[in-house]
Amino acid sequence: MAEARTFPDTGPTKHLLRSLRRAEATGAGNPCSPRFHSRRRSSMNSSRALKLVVASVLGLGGGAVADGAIAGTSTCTGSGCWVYPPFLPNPGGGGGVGGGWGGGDGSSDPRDEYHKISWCTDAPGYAWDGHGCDLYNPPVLTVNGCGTAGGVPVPDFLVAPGALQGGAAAFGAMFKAACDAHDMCYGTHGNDKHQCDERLRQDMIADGQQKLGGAFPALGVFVIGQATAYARFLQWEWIEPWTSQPAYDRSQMDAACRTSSAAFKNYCDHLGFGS
Amino acid sequence: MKFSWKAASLLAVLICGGGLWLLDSYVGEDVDPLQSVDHEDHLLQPYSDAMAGMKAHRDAEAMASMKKPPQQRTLTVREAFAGDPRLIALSVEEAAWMDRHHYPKAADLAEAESIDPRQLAGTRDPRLLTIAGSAFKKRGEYMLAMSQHFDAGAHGALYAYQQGAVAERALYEERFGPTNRDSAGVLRARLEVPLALGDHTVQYLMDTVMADVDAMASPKQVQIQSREFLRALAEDARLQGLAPPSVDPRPNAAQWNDLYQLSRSGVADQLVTIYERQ
Repeated sequence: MAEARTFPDTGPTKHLLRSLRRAEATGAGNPCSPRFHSRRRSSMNSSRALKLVVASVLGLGGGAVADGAIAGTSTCTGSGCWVYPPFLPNPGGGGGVGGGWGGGDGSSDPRDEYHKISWCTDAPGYAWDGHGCDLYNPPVLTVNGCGTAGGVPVPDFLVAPGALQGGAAAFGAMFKAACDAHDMCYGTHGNDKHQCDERLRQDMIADGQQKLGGAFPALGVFVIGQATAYARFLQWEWIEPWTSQPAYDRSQMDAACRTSSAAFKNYCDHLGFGS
Repeated sequence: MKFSWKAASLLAVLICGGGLWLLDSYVGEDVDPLQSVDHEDHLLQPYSDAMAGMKAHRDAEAMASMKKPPQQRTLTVREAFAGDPRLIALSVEEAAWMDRHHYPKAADLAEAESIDPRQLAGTRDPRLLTIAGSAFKKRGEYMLAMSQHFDAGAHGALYAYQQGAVAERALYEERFGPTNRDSAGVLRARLEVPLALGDHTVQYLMDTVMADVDAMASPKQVQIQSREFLRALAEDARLQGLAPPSVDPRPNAAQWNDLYQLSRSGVADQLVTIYERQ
Protein backbone atom coordinates (compact mmCIF):
# COMPACT_ATOMS: atom_id res chain seq x y z
CA MET A 1 0.00 0.00 0.00
CA ALA A 2 1.49 3.35 -0.99
CA GLU A 3 2.05 6.03 1.56
CA ALA A 4 -0.79 8.48 1.94
CA ARG A 5 -0.28 11.85 0.35
CA THR A 6 -2.29 14.87 1.29
CA PHE A 7 -3.16 17.82 -0.88
CA PRO A 8 -4.99 21.02 -0.15
CA ASP A 9 -8.64 20.56 -0.84
CA THR A 10 -9.89 22.71 -3.59
CA GLY A 11 -12.10 20.20 -5.42
CA PRO A 12 -11.91 18.93 -8.98
CA THR A 13 -13.62 20.87 -11.69
CA LYS A 14 -15.57 19.49 -14.55
CA HIS A 15 -13.11 21.03 -16.90
CA LEU A 16 -10.19 19.29 -15.31
CA LEU A 17 -12.05 16.05 -15.05
CA ARG A 18 -12.74 16.16 -18.75
CA SER A 19 -9.09 16.88 -19.38
CA LEU A 20 -8.19 14.09 -17.08
CA ARG A 21 -10.41 11.66 -18.88
CA ARG A 22 -8.74 12.64 -22.08
CA ALA A 23 -5.38 12.17 -20.42
CA GLU A 24 -6.44 8.80 -19.14
CA ALA A 25 -7.27 7.74 -22.61
CA THR A 26 -3.64 8.27 -23.43
CA GLY A 27 -2.50 6.82 -20.14
CA ALA A 28 -1.19 10.13 -18.86
CA GLY A 29 -3.73 10.99 -16.19
CA ASN A 30 -2.92 11.08 -12.53
CA PRO A 31 -5.83 12.03 -10.35
CA CYS A 32 -3.59 12.22 -7.35
CA SER A 33 -1.66 15.13 -8.70
CA PRO A 34 -2.32 18.47 -7.02
CA ARG A 35 -3.50 20.01 -10.25
CA PHE A 36 -6.29 17.47 -10.29
CA HIS A 37 -7.70 19.16 -7.26
CA SER A 38 -7.48 22.72 -8.49
CA ARG A 39 -10.80 24.48 -8.30
CA ARG A 40 -13.03 26.65 -10.36
CA ARG A 41 -15.66 28.49 -8.44
CA SER A 42 -18.52 27.94 -10.85
CA SER A 43 -18.33 24.19 -10.53
CA MET A 44 -18.25 23.90 -6.79
CA ASN A 45 -21.67 22.37 -6.51
CA SER A 46 -20.83 19.36 -8.53
CA SER A 47 -17.36 19.02 -7.17
CA ARG A 48 -18.62 19.11 -3.63
CA ALA A 49 -21.22 16.56 -4.44
CA LEU A 50 -18.62 14.40 -6.04
CA LYS A 51 -16.59 14.61 -2.90
CA LEU A 52 -19.56 13.49 -0.95
CA VAL A 53 -20.21 10.41 -2.97
CA VAL A 54 -16.64 9.36 -3.37
CA ALA A 55 -15.83 9.75 0.28
CA SER A 56 -19.00 8.16 1.49
CA VAL A 57 -18.79 5.20 -0.85
CA LEU A 58 -15.25 4.50 0.08
CA GLY A 59 -16.43 3.93 3.60
CA LEU A 60 -13.77 6.10 5.11
CA GLY A 61 -13.17 5.68 8.78
CA GLY A 62 -14.86 8.19 11.00
CA GLY A 63 -11.55 9.59 12.17
CA ALA A 64 -10.28 10.27 8.71
CA VAL A 65 -13.53 11.90 7.76
CA ALA A 66 -13.53 14.03 10.83
CA ASP A 67 -9.92 15.07 10.25
CA GLY A 68 -10.66 15.84 6.66
CA ALA A 69 -13.69 17.82 7.54
CA ILE A 70 -11.54 20.04 9.64
CA ALA A 71 -8.51 20.18 7.43
CA GLY A 72 -10.39 20.02 4.16
CA THR A 73 -8.00 17.80 2.33
CA SER A 74 -7.89 15.31 -0.44
CA THR A 75 -5.92 12.16 0.09
CA CYS A 76 -4.50 9.54 -2.20
CA THR A 77 -3.11 6.15 -1.32
CA GLY A 78 -2.24 3.13 -3.33
CA SER A 79 -5.83 2.05 -3.25
CA GLY A 80 -7.25 5.27 -4.60
CA CYS A 81 -7.94 8.94 -4.06
CA TRP A 82 -10.69 10.53 -2.13
CA VAL A 83 -11.82 13.93 -1.12
CA TYR A 84 -13.83 15.10 1.81
CA PRO A 85 -15.65 16.31 3.86
CA PRO A 86 -18.25 13.78 2.86
CA PHE A 87 -21.13 15.21 4.83
CA LEU A 88 -21.42 18.55 6.45
CA PRO A 89 -21.15 18.37 10.23
CA ASN A 90 -23.29 21.49 10.55
CA PRO A 91 -25.57 21.61 7.52
CA GLY A 92 -26.45 25.23 7.77
CA GLY A 93 -22.92 26.36 8.34
CA GLY A 94 -20.84 26.74 5.29
CA GLY A 95 -17.82 28.86 5.87
CA GLY A 96 -14.40 27.82 6.95
CA VAL A 97 -11.65 26.64 4.76
CA GLY A 98 -13.11 23.49 3.35
CA GLY A 99 -14.62 22.96 6.74
CA GLY A 100 -18.03 22.03 5.47
CA TRP A 101 -20.27 21.78 2.53
CA GLY A 102 -19.80 24.76 0.31
CA GLY A 103 -17.47 26.33 2.83
CA GLY A 104 -14.65 27.17 0.52
CA ASP A 105 -16.65 28.93 -2.12
CA GLY A 106 -18.79 30.85 0.29
CA SER A 107 -22.12 29.26 -0.62
CA SER A 108 -24.51 29.11 2.29
CA ASP A 109 -27.17 26.49 2.77
CA PRO A 110 -25.98 23.12 1.58
CA ARG A 111 -29.54 21.92 1.29
CA ASP A 112 -29.95 24.34 -1.59
CA GLU A 113 -26.87 22.98 -3.21
CA TYR A 114 -28.17 19.55 -2.49
CA HIS A 115 -31.04 20.23 -4.83
CA LYS A 116 -28.99 22.08 -7.36
CA ILE A 117 -26.38 19.48 -7.99
CA SER A 118 -26.20 18.39 -11.50
CA TRP A 119 -23.67 15.62 -11.41
CA CYS A 120 -26.28 12.91 -11.12
CA THR A 121 -27.43 13.78 -14.58
CA ASP A 122 -24.17 15.15 -15.86
CA ALA A 123 -21.54 13.25 -13.93
CA PRO A 124 -18.00 12.89 -15.01
CA GLY A 125 -16.30 9.59 -14.53
CA TYR A 126 -14.17 9.78 -11.45
CA ALA A 127 -10.52 9.26 -12.05
CA TRP A 128 -8.95 6.65 -9.89
CA ASP A 129 -5.40 6.20 -8.84
CA GLY A 130 -3.62 5.43 -12.08
CA HIS A 131 -6.63 4.25 -14.03
CA GLY A 132 -10.09 5.61 -14.64
CA CYS A 133 -13.18 4.78 -12.68
CA ASP A 134 -16.19 5.61 -14.74
CA LEU A 135 -19.05 5.76 -12.29
CA TYR A 136 -21.54 5.06 -15.02
CA ASN A 137 -19.69 2.14 -16.47
CA PRO A 138 -17.49 0.48 -13.89
CA PRO A 139 -15.28 -2.47 -14.82
CA VAL A 140 -17.01 -5.80 -14.26
CA LEU A 141 -15.61 -8.66 -12.24
CA THR A 142 -14.88 -11.71 -14.35
CA VAL A 143 -13.78 -15.03 -12.94
CA ASN A 144 -11.98 -17.04 -15.57
CA GLY A 145 -10.14 -19.88 -13.93
CA CYS A 146 -6.38 -19.75 -13.67
CA GLY A 147 -6.25 -17.51 -16.73
CA THR A 148 -3.11 -15.60 -17.47
CA ALA A 149 -0.46 -13.99 -15.34
CA GLY A 150 1.35 -11.18 -17.10
CA GLY A 151 0.32 -12.57 -20.45
CA VAL A 152 1.60 -16.08 -19.71
CA PRO A 153 -1.20 -18.70 -19.88
CA VAL A 154 -1.58 -20.56 -16.60
CA PRO A 155 -3.01 -24.08 -16.97
CA ASP A 156 -5.99 -25.00 -14.85
CA PHE A 157 -5.40 -28.68 -15.57
CA LEU A 158 -2.84 -30.88 -13.85
CA VAL A 159 0.62 -30.65 -15.32
CA ALA A 160 2.76 -33.76 -15.06
CA PRO A 161 5.99 -34.74 -16.77
CA GLY A 162 6.27 -36.67 -20.01
CA ALA A 163 4.20 -39.78 -20.36
CA LEU A 164 2.02 -38.96 -17.37
CA GLN A 165 0.71 -35.76 -18.92
CA GLY A 166 -2.00 -37.47 -20.99
CA GLY A 167 -3.45 -39.16 -17.95
CA ALA A 168 -3.16 -36.04 -15.82
CA ALA A 169 -4.86 -33.79 -18.34
CA ALA A 170 -7.72 -36.26 -18.70
CA PHE A 171 -8.93 -35.17 -15.29
CA GLY A 172 -10.00 -31.97 -16.97
CA ALA A 173 -9.78 -28.44 -15.64
CA MET A 174 -9.00 -29.77 -12.20
CA PHE A 175 -8.11 -26.45 -10.62
CA LYS A 176 -10.68 -24.24 -12.27
CA ALA A 177 -13.00 -24.00 -9.28
CA ALA A 178 -10.08 -23.11 -6.99
CA CYS A 179 -8.86 -20.47 -9.44
CA ASP A 180 -12.38 -19.04 -9.79
CA ALA A 181 -12.56 -18.67 -6.02
CA HIS A 182 -9.12 -17.02 -6.12
CA ASP A 183 -10.33 -14.55 -8.75
CA MET A 184 -13.30 -13.75 -6.60
CA CYS A 185 -11.01 -13.32 -3.61
CA TYR A 186 -8.83 -10.78 -5.44
CA GLY A 187 -11.91 -9.04 -6.80
CA THR A 188 -13.60 -8.55 -3.44
CA HIS A 189 -12.69 -5.22 -1.93
CA GLY A 190 -10.60 -5.45 1.21
CA ASN A 191 -9.41 -9.04 0.93
CA ASP A 192 -5.82 -9.77 1.88
CA LYS A 193 -3.69 -10.88 -1.03
CA HIS A 194 -1.58 -13.41 0.80
CA GLN A 195 -4.61 -14.98 2.37
CA CYS A 196 -6.15 -15.33 -1.10
CA ASP A 197 -2.98 -16.94 -2.44
CA GLU A 198 -2.67 -19.33 0.46
CA ARG A 199 -6.28 -20.36 0.11
CA LEU A 200 -5.68 -21.09 -3.54
CA ARG A 201 -3.02 -23.59 -2.59
CA GLN A 202 -5.24 -25.30 -0.04
CA ASP A 203 -8.18 -25.44 -2.42
CA MET A 204 -6.07 -26.86 -5.23
CA ILE A 205 -4.70 -29.63 -3.05
CA ALA A 206 -8.09 -30.55 -1.56
CA ASP A 207 -9.71 -30.55 -4.98
CA GLY A 208 -6.91 -32.55 -6.56
CA GLN A 209 -7.09 -35.14 -3.82
CA GLN A 210 -10.84 -35.61 -4.33
CA LYS A 211 -10.63 -35.70 -8.11
CA LEU A 212 -7.70 -38.05 -8.37
CA GLY A 213 -8.94 -40.53 -5.79
CA GLY A 214 -6.98 -43.71 -6.28
CA ALA A 215 -4.58 -41.95 -8.64
CA PHE A 216 -3.49 -39.55 -5.91
CA PRO A 217 -0.53 -41.66 -4.75
CA ALA A 218 0.83 -41.54 -8.30
CA LEU A 219 -0.10 -38.02 -9.32
CA GLY A 220 -0.61 -36.35 -5.95
CA VAL A 221 2.96 -35.11 -5.86
CA PHE A 222 2.29 -33.09 -8.99
CA VAL A 223 -0.90 -31.68 -7.52
CA ILE A 224 0.93 -30.54 -4.42
CA GLY A 225 3.80 -29.29 -6.55
CA GLN A 226 1.55 -27.31 -8.85
CA ALA A 227 -0.51 -25.86 -6.01
CA THR A 228 2.60 -24.83 -4.12
CA ALA A 229 4.19 -23.44 -7.26
CA TYR A 230 1.14 -21.29 -7.99
CA ALA A 231 0.97 -19.98 -4.45
CA ARG A 232 4.73 -19.35 -4.27
CA PHE A 233 4.77 -17.73 -7.69
CA LEU A 234 2.02 -15.37 -6.63
CA GLN A 235 3.91 -14.43 -3.47
CA TRP A 236 7.53 -14.67 -4.56
CA GLU A 237 9.07 -11.36 -3.65
CA TRP A 238 11.28 -11.21 -6.75
CA ILE A 239 8.45 -11.30 -9.20
CA GLU A 240 5.39 -10.42 -7.17
CA PRO A 241 5.71 -6.68 -7.81
CA TRP A 242 5.53 -7.31 -11.56
CA THR A 243 3.00 -10.11 -11.73
CA SER A 244 0.45 -10.87 -9.06
CA GLN A 245 0.70 -7.63 -7.11
CA PRO A 246 -0.40 -5.43 -10.03
CA ALA A 247 -3.17 -7.92 -10.79
CA TYR A 248 -4.32 -7.81 -7.20
CA ASP A 249 -4.08 -4.01 -7.05
CA ARG A 250 -6.03 -3.64 -10.22
CA SER A 251 -8.72 -6.06 -9.02
CA GLN A 252 -9.01 -4.15 -5.76
CA MET A 253 -9.24 -0.81 -7.55
CA ASP A 254 -11.86 -2.18 -9.87
CA ALA A 255 -13.76 -3.49 -6.87
CA ALA A 256 -13.58 -0.10 -5.20
CA CYS A 257 -14.74 1.52 -8.41
CA ARG A 258 -17.74 -0.80 -8.58
CA THR A 259 -18.57 0.03 -4.98
CA SER A 260 -18.34 3.73 -5.79
CA SER A 261 -20.50 3.28 -8.83
CA ALA A 262 -23.18 1.44 -6.87
CA ALA A 263 -23.23 4.11 -4.16
CA PHE A 264 -23.26 6.84 -6.78
CA LYS A 265 -26.29 5.30 -8.42
CA ASN A 266 -28.04 4.80 -5.10
CA TYR A 267 -27.32 8.37 -4.19
CA CYS A 268 -28.67 9.74 -7.43
CA ASP A 269 -31.73 7.53 -7.11
CA HIS A 270 -32.18 8.85 -3.60
CA LEU A 271 -32.12 12.38 -4.93
CA GLY A 272 -34.63 11.45 -7.57
CA PHE A 273 -32.26 11.97 -10.46
CA GLY A 274 -31.91 8.37 -11.42
CA SER A 275 -28.59 7.42 -12.90
CA MET B 1 -88.11 -5.05 -79.74
CA LYS B 2 -91.78 -5.36 -79.06
CA PHE B 3 -92.96 -5.47 -75.44
CA SER B 4 -94.78 -8.66 -74.56
CA TRP B 5 -96.62 -9.31 -71.32
CA LYS B 6 -95.97 -13.01 -71.79
CA ALA B 7 -92.18 -12.57 -71.95
CA ALA B 8 -92.16 -10.21 -68.97
CA SER B 9 -94.15 -12.70 -66.85
CA LEU B 10 -91.78 -15.48 -67.82
CA LEU B 11 -88.78 -13.36 -66.84
CA ALA B 12 -90.37 -12.44 -63.52
CA VAL B 13 -91.08 -16.11 -62.76
CA LEU B 14 -87.49 -17.03 -63.62
CA ILE B 15 -86.06 -14.32 -61.37
CA CYS B 16 -88.28 -15.28 -58.45
CA GLY B 17 -87.49 -18.96 -58.92
CA GLY B 18 -83.77 -18.26 -59.01
CA GLY B 19 -84.03 -16.15 -55.86
CA LEU B 20 -85.95 -18.86 -54.02
CA TRP B 21 -83.43 -21.47 -55.12
CA LEU B 22 -80.56 -19.35 -53.85
CA LEU B 23 -82.35 -18.73 -50.56
CA ASP B 24 -83.02 -22.40 -50.18
CA SER B 25 -79.40 -23.27 -50.86
CA TYR B 26 -78.24 -20.78 -48.26
CA VAL B 27 -80.37 -22.12 -45.45
CA GLY B 28 -80.29 -25.72 -46.60
CA GLU B 29 -78.61 -28.51 -44.67
CA ASP B 30 -76.32 -29.45 -47.48
CA VAL B 31 -74.24 -26.27 -47.14
CA ASP B 32 -71.26 -26.41 -44.74
CA PRO B 33 -71.17 -23.57 -42.30
CA LEU B 34 -68.07 -21.39 -42.57
CA GLN B 35 -66.50 -22.63 -39.36
CA SER B 36 -67.56 -26.14 -38.74
CA VAL B 37 -65.82 -28.19 -36.10
CA ASP B 38 -66.34 -31.34 -38.15
CA HIS B 39 -64.89 -29.63 -41.13
CA GLU B 40 -61.75 -28.55 -39.26
CA ASP B 41 -61.18 -31.92 -37.68
CA HIS B 42 -61.56 -33.54 -41.01
CA LEU B 43 -58.90 -31.34 -42.56
CA LEU B 44 -56.48 -31.59 -39.68
CA GLN B 45 -56.96 -35.27 -39.14
CA PRO B 46 -53.87 -36.34 -41.05
CA TYR B 47 -51.74 -33.85 -39.14
CA SER B 48 -53.21 -34.84 -35.80
CA ASP B 49 -52.54 -38.45 -36.63
CA ALA B 50 -49.01 -37.62 -37.67
CA MET B 51 -48.35 -35.66 -34.49
CA ALA B 52 -49.77 -38.39 -32.32
CA GLY B 53 -47.64 -40.82 -34.23
CA MET B 54 -44.56 -38.69 -33.73
CA LYS B 55 -45.23 -38.35 -30.03
CA ALA B 56 -45.75 -42.09 -29.73
CA HIS B 57 -42.57 -42.59 -31.70
CA ARG B 58 -40.65 -40.15 -29.50
CA ASP B 59 -42.05 -41.74 -26.36
CA ALA B 60 -41.13 -45.18 -27.64
CA GLU B 61 -37.67 -43.97 -28.51
CA ALA B 62 -37.31 -42.31 -25.12
CA MET B 63 -38.57 -45.42 -23.39
CA ALA B 64 -36.06 -47.53 -25.28
CA SER B 65 -33.23 -45.22 -24.23
CA MET B 66 -34.08 -45.65 -20.56
CA LYS B 67 -32.93 -48.60 -18.57
CA LYS B 68 -36.21 -48.83 -16.72
CA PRO B 69 -39.48 -47.30 -17.87
CA PRO B 70 -40.67 -44.42 -15.73
CA GLN B 71 -43.56 -44.95 -13.40
CA GLN B 72 -46.63 -42.92 -14.18
CA ARG B 73 -48.43 -41.16 -11.33
CA THR B 74 -51.28 -38.72 -11.18
CA LEU B 75 -51.05 -36.06 -8.52
CA THR B 76 -52.41 -32.62 -7.90
CA VAL B 77 -50.17 -29.85 -9.09
CA ARG B 78 -49.57 -28.85 -5.48
CA GLU B 79 -48.35 -32.33 -4.59
CA ALA B 80 -46.25 -32.67 -7.70
CA PHE B 81 -44.50 -29.34 -7.21
CA ALA B 82 -44.16 -29.63 -3.44
CA GLY B 83 -40.53 -30.71 -3.65
CA ASP B 84 -37.93 -29.60 -6.16
CA PRO B 85 -39.88 -29.01 -9.38
CA ARG B 86 -36.71 -29.43 -11.45
CA LEU B 87 -36.95 -33.14 -10.76
CA ILE B 88 -40.42 -33.57 -12.28
CA ALA B 89 -40.88 -35.20 -15.69
CA LEU B 90 -44.15 -34.44 -17.43
CA SER B 91 -43.67 -36.99 -20.20
CA VAL B 92 -41.66 -40.07 -20.98
CA GLU B 93 -39.59 -37.97 -23.32
CA GLU B 94 -38.75 -35.54 -20.53
CA ALA B 95 -37.83 -38.42 -18.23
CA ALA B 96 -35.44 -39.63 -20.91
CA TRP B 97 -34.04 -36.11 -21.25
CA MET B 98 -33.39 -36.07 -17.51
CA ASP B 99 -31.59 -39.38 -17.76
CA ARG B 100 -29.53 -38.03 -20.63
CA HIS B 101 -28.49 -35.05 -18.53
CA HIS B 102 -27.71 -37.12 -15.45
CA TYR B 103 -30.46 -35.70 -13.31
CA PRO B 104 -30.39 -37.41 -9.91
CA LYS B 105 -33.23 -39.66 -8.89
CA ALA B 106 -34.94 -39.48 -5.53
CA ALA B 107 -32.81 -42.39 -4.33
CA ASP B 108 -29.60 -40.58 -5.33
CA LEU B 109 -30.49 -37.53 -3.32
CA ALA B 110 -31.43 -39.68 -0.36
CA GLU B 111 -28.05 -41.37 -0.65
CA ALA B 112 -26.29 -38.00 -0.60
CA GLU B 113 -27.80 -37.35 2.79
CA SER B 114 -25.87 -40.14 4.44
CA ILE B 115 -22.85 -40.96 2.30
CA ASP B 116 -19.25 -39.93 3.04
CA PRO B 117 -18.33 -38.12 -0.20
CA ARG B 118 -14.66 -38.97 0.17
CA GLN B 119 -15.60 -42.55 -0.56
CA LEU B 120 -16.43 -41.34 -4.04
CA ALA B 121 -13.01 -39.74 -4.57
CA GLY B 122 -11.73 -40.26 -8.08
CA THR B 123 -15.10 -41.01 -9.63
CA ARG B 124 -15.73 -39.73 -13.15
CA ASP B 125 -19.38 -40.76 -13.22
CA PRO B 126 -21.55 -37.64 -13.39
CA ARG B 127 -24.25 -39.23 -11.27
CA LEU B 128 -21.79 -40.04 -8.51
CA LEU B 129 -20.15 -36.63 -8.85
CA THR B 130 -23.57 -35.07 -8.31
CA ILE B 131 -24.12 -37.19 -5.21
CA ALA B 132 -20.64 -36.32 -3.91
CA GLY B 133 -21.24 -32.63 -4.58
CA SER B 134 -24.53 -32.71 -2.68
CA ALA B 135 -22.92 -34.57 0.19
CA PHE B 136 -20.05 -32.06 0.40
CA LYS B 137 -22.54 -29.23 0.36
CA LYS B 138 -24.42 -30.85 3.20
CA ARG B 139 -21.19 -31.14 5.20
CA GLY B 140 -20.39 -27.47 4.62
CA GLU B 141 -17.39 -28.16 2.37
CA TYR B 142 -18.52 -25.73 -0.26
CA MET B 143 -15.33 -25.56 -2.29
CA LEU B 144 -15.41 -29.30 -2.97
CA ALA B 145 -19.18 -29.25 -3.46
CA MET B 146 -18.83 -26.59 -6.13
CA SER B 147 -15.95 -28.37 -7.79
CA GLN B 148 -17.64 -31.78 -7.90
CA HIS B 149 -20.84 -30.31 -9.27
CA PHE B 150 -19.10 -28.35 -11.99
CA ASP B 151 -17.10 -31.42 -12.86
CA ALA B 152 -20.37 -33.27 -13.40
CA GLY B 153 -21.52 -30.29 -15.43
CA ALA B 154 -18.75 -30.94 -17.94
CA HIS B 155 -20.42 -34.30 -18.58
CA GLY B 156 -23.67 -32.49 -19.40
CA ALA B 157 -25.21 -32.78 -15.93
CA LEU B 158 -27.31 -29.64 -15.87
CA TYR B 159 -28.83 -30.18 -12.45
CA ALA B 160 -25.35 -30.60 -11.02
CA TYR B 161 -24.22 -27.38 -12.66
CA GLN B 162 -27.09 -25.51 -11.04
CA GLN B 163 -26.27 -27.03 -7.68
CA GLY B 164 -22.68 -25.98 -8.24
CA ALA B 165 -23.89 -22.40 -8.41
CA VAL B 166 -25.74 -22.86 -5.14
CA ALA B 167 -22.58 -24.23 -3.51
CA GLU B 168 -20.58 -21.38 -5.02
CA ARG B 169 -22.87 -18.88 -3.39
CA ALA B 170 -22.47 -20.59 -0.04
CA LEU B 171 -18.68 -20.55 -0.49
CA TYR B 172 -18.55 -16.85 -1.35
CA GLU B 173 -20.82 -15.95 1.53
CA GLU B 174 -18.73 -17.98 3.91
CA ARG B 175 -15.47 -16.41 2.74
CA PHE B 176 -16.35 -12.93 1.54
CA GLY B 177 -19.58 -12.01 3.31
CA PRO B 178 -23.10 -11.51 2.00
CA THR B 179 -23.73 -11.70 -1.72
CA ASN B 180 -22.98 -8.38 -3.34
CA ARG B 181 -23.29 -7.02 -6.84
CA ASP B 182 -20.09 -8.73 -8.01
CA SER B 183 -20.80 -12.20 -6.74
CA ALA B 184 -24.42 -11.84 -7.83
CA GLY B 185 -23.25 -11.28 -11.40
CA VAL B 186 -21.12 -14.40 -11.30
CA LEU B 187 -23.91 -16.50 -9.79
CA ARG B 188 -26.50 -15.21 -12.21
CA ALA B 189 -24.15 -16.03 -15.07
CA ARG B 190 -23.82 -19.57 -13.71
CA LEU B 191 -27.59 -19.95 -14.02
CA GLU B 192 -27.46 -18.66 -17.56
CA VAL B 193 -25.42 -21.70 -18.58
CA PRO B 194 -28.05 -24.44 -18.01
CA LEU B 195 -30.67 -22.04 -19.30
CA ALA B 196 -28.73 -21.55 -22.52
CA LEU B 197 -28.24 -25.29 -22.83
CA GLY B 198 -31.98 -25.88 -22.67
CA ASP B 199 -33.04 -26.41 -19.07
CA HIS B 200 -35.95 -24.07 -18.39
CA THR B 201 -36.43 -25.34 -14.84
CA VAL B 202 -33.54 -23.12 -13.68
CA GLN B 203 -36.36 -20.68 -13.09
CA TYR B 204 -37.00 -22.48 -9.82
CA LEU B 205 -33.59 -21.46 -8.46
CA MET B 206 -34.05 -17.93 -9.73
CA ASP B 207 -37.25 -17.75 -7.70
CA THR B 208 -35.93 -19.36 -4.55
CA VAL B 209 -32.32 -19.54 -3.38
CA MET B 210 -31.11 -17.08 -6.02
CA ALA B 211 -34.14 -14.80 -5.88
CA ASP B 212 -32.16 -11.74 -4.81
CA VAL B 213 -29.34 -12.30 -7.25
CA ASP B 214 -31.18 -11.24 -10.37
CA ALA B 215 -31.89 -7.73 -9.19
CA MET B 216 -28.32 -7.21 -7.98
CA ALA B 217 -26.45 -8.55 -10.98
CA SER B 218 -25.13 -6.28 -13.68
CA PRO B 219 -26.41 -7.40 -17.10
CA LYS B 220 -23.07 -6.57 -18.65
CA GLN B 221 -21.25 -8.76 -16.18
CA VAL B 222 -23.75 -11.59 -16.66
CA GLN B 223 -23.28 -11.45 -20.40
CA ILE B 224 -19.48 -11.49 -20.26
CA GLN B 225 -19.31 -14.04 -17.49
CA SER B 226 -21.84 -16.52 -18.91
CA ARG B 227 -19.95 -16.56 -22.18
CA GLU B 228 -16.78 -17.33 -20.25
CA PHE B 229 -18.49 -20.11 -18.32
CA LEU B 230 -19.79 -21.71 -21.50
CA ARG B 231 -16.31 -21.56 -22.99
CA ALA B 232 -14.77 -23.04 -19.86
CA LEU B 233 -17.34 -25.82 -19.74
CA ALA B 234 -16.59 -26.81 -23.32
CA GLU B 235 -12.86 -26.64 -22.64
CA ASP B 236 -13.19 -28.83 -19.57
CA ALA B 237 -15.19 -31.40 -21.54
CA ARG B 238 -12.63 -31.35 -24.33
CA LEU B 239 -9.80 -32.01 -21.88
CA GLN B 240 -11.66 -35.03 -20.56
CA GLY B 241 -12.30 -36.34 -24.05
CA LEU B 242 -16.03 -35.62 -23.89
CA ALA B 243 -18.29 -33.94 -26.38
CA PRO B 244 -18.83 -30.35 -25.29
CA PRO B 245 -22.29 -29.81 -23.82
CA SER B 246 -24.62 -28.53 -26.51
CA VAL B 247 -28.12 -27.12 -26.65
CA ASP B 248 -30.72 -29.79 -25.96
CA PRO B 249 -34.06 -28.22 -25.02
CA ARG B 250 -35.86 -29.93 -22.21
CA PRO B 251 -39.35 -30.97 -23.32
CA ASN B 252 -42.58 -29.50 -21.95
CA ALA B 253 -41.24 -26.01 -21.29
CA ALA B 254 -44.58 -24.27 -21.69
CA GLN B 255 -46.51 -26.88 -19.74
CA TRP B 256 -43.97 -26.90 -16.92
CA ASN B 257 -44.05 -23.15 -16.69
CA ASP B 258 -47.87 -23.06 -16.56
CA LEU B 259 -47.99 -25.68 -13.82
CA TYR B 260 -45.13 -24.07 -11.94
CA GLN B 261 -46.90 -20.73 -11.93
CA LEU B 262 -50.09 -22.47 -10.90
CA SER B 263 -48.32 -24.16 -8.00
CA ARG B 264 -46.93 -20.81 -6.89
CA SER B 265 -50.33 -19.18 -7.08
CA GLY B 266 -51.67 -21.47 -4.38
CA VAL B 267 -54.62 -22.66 -6.46
CA ALA B 268 -53.18 -25.94 -7.58
CA ASP B 269 -55.74 -28.69 -7.24
CA GLN B 270 -55.61 -29.65 -10.90
CA LEU B 271 -54.44 -33.14 -11.63
CA VAL B 272 -51.25 -33.73 -13.52
CA THR B 273 -49.51 -36.89 -14.67
CA ILE B 274 -45.85 -37.15 -13.80
CA TYR B 275 -43.28 -39.76 -14.77
CA GLU B 276 -40.99 -40.95 -12.03
CA ARG B 277 -37.71 -42.41 -13.14
CA GLN B 278 -36.77 -45.70 -11.58
